[in-house]
Amino acid sequence: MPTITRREFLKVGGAGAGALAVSGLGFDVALAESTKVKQSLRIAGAKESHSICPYCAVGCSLVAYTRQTSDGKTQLLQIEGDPDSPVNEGRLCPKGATAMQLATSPRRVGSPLYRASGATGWKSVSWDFMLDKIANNIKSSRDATFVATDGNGNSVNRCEGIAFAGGAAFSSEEGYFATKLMRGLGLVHLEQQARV
Amino acid sequence: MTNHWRDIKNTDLILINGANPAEAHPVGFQWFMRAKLDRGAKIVHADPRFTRTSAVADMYLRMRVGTDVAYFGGLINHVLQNNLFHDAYVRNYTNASFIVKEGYAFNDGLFSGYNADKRSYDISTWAYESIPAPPSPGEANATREGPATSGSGFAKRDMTLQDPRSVFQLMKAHYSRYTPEVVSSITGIPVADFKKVADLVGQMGQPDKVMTIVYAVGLTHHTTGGQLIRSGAVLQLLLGNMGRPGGGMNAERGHANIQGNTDHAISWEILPGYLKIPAPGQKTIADYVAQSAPKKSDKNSWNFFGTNYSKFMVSTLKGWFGDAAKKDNEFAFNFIPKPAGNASWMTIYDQALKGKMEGLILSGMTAASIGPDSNQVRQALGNLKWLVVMDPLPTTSSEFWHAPGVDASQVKTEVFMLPTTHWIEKDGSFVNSGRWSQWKDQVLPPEGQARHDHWILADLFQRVKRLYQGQGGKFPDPILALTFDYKDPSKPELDEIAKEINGKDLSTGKQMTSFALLKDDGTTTTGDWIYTGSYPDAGNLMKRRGGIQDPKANDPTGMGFYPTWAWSWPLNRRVMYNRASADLDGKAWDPKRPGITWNGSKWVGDVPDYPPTMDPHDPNAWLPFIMNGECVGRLFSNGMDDGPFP
Repeated sequence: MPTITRREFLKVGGAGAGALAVSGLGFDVALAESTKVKQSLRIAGAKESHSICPYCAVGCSLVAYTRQTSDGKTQLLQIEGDPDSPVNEGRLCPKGATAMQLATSPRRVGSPLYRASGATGWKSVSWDFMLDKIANNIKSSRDATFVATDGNGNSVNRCEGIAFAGGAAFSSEEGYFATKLMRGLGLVHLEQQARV
Repeated sequence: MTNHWRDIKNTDLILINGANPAEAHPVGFQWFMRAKLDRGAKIVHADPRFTRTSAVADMYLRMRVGTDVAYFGGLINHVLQNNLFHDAYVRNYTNASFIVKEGYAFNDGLFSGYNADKRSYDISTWAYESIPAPPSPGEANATREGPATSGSGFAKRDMTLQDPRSVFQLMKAHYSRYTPEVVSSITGIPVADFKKVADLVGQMGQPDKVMTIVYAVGLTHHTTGGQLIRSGAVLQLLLGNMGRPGGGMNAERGHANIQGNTDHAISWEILPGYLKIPAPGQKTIADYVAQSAPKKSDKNSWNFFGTNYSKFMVSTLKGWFGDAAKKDNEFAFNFIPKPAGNASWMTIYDQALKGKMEGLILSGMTAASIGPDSNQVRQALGNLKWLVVMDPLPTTSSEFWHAPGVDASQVKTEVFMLPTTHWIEKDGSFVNSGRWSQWKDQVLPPEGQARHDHWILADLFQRVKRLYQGQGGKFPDPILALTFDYKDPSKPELDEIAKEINGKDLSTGKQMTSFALLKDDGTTTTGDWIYTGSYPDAGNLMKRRGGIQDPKANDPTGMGFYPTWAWSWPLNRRVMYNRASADLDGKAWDPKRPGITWNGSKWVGDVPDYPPTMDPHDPNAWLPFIMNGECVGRLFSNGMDDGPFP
């Protein structure tokens, strides 16, 4: 049986369509007319991007295939393991292999949601409304709980009444940025999943 | 991990404790199986449960939860009693020869210095006997700026390891208690099984053998977690396995970027790069460094971290506060908040229950489902004035106020649910357990109204800043000064932030190429010194793709380093402390599995964790473990609050 690499098998040619029975396998497979199926590869004409799995800390590399639809949207077609990676060599576990479900989940929150004190339900609101209110909350809580000098006369400049917790699933650049901003606000209560 | 995933294929023996990698890290586990199938490595799995990992292990040991100190302690005892330790390594690369000062004792299960009322230790007796520290010729090799690195003296040493107060002899006595019968009675492992493992482990002290220890939350999720892990590391030092391909102490972390965000210090007690958070009472950088940085305790100690501590701190302050950080105001040291004490996970919810926490921002983390007590957390959330949840999906925290059985009208908390983007809708890097920082593309645009976490935080910060500018308020200085050198301050690009993390030389405008070049005079910046070098002017090294498509070109040593795939900290080094992979002459302990070796004029192989041209034959050459004050592996350590020996 001649060997074919995964890369060769997945290669998206210019024509896009390929009857699976011929040439790519290196030999001709004779199929009866009734069972010969002409299929387009689902990823025909797709753009290949590289990502990393969002789940555990092995850090498997992913190849993601996207296509622009006729109404200008970007459609995610497939996520597979990246055969070039020295970490996973193209393999994925069940979570990584189904990571597409996370990206295309119908359960995503569609808009900013606000719940007033004592309210029994969510209200869909604008980003501006939310960010304005939160900013005012931050300022008022910071001013109410800021300690400039402690009981021993030491300058401490800390905000004791606001905490930030997150996030092991966002990028390092986002994480560093969160640390910088939260320390800039004077927060001391800063945590993420490392402790738990 | 001191090593990395692919490196595990290089090992002869794998001890797995507190982990189930076949199920929890299945793709990483291929490297364990490669070691087993390709080089005949053995896998020993010690765990309270028989799992899929146990099913493919050569030995499974059913052990009681949290008894790993007895397990590793018994192995330490076996190695010491039978002289199976790696002699040259232990003598030269660990603190076995260091003399502990009079006053240190261990009796009846307690170390010296125990205060029964406070239920804590005064650790001052956990120290070395001091000899005066002469100005050593080796000091000329260390950079001179900043506070003095020498402590009150250097440690007295006995290279014969015979002195009864040497770490070696104290350790031998300490672990003599862990006979196979005692190990069995504590751990539940049958004596015969334990002896079989001890035989396997006892062979790993030979220079041409190497063992790895792999662990996960089964070791960390204990109040004694630090010591459980340390007992494994101590065993590895005795066997000469730290710093070597196929060796090390390897944590299998749990999340896509838990490593990166630990490094970037979303943790109450540290600043990026594991600098300590300043403490009340420290008025100046000098105070801070004196209380935080390691101190040199041997003439051949580089004390790299201690020597550079002020440079890393000042460069971070300069990066964060820009022009407001000046020589005459301690580079805005005062802008950094100083916690009174523990401000960790547990304290957050305790404080909320006491009515002292007004607001909480949860970003990609659901408090109500994580941590030891869900009920306590949900009660605490109900006691906040306001809660912000940033997540793509609803979570147990965003919905806590109308969970089943909860009367929403009684929950006063104002709750904000902000839909965020998924990992695939933004670029940026994830750092895996092996410290490899791998950049990902933005594959999809944000869906619907979802926004990026960093854009939300940037926008919020700008709004808070405008409120302070307009209304005044408590100490607005750090808020007004915080640097936002991005094309759009409310929409910074992750690429811009990556450059900031790397750091810049302000006098030339060039990106820094190494943390060794950072200064404490305000002319350099960094966001996180351990990432300095990841994004030089040549480009973002985390994007590199020199992988297995061409092993000859991309892995020239054949050791699985793949140095041009992505970028690992520090400085793209794959195995940490790799100076310890070679002997005193710079020859690999195991020539078949070299880490770095001395070729006569420089160190070659992996990126050396050592000055690249420092001749090992120079009597003033540094020792291998450059990050601590002793510059050797610490069998005895005063770095833990609950005991110098595990």
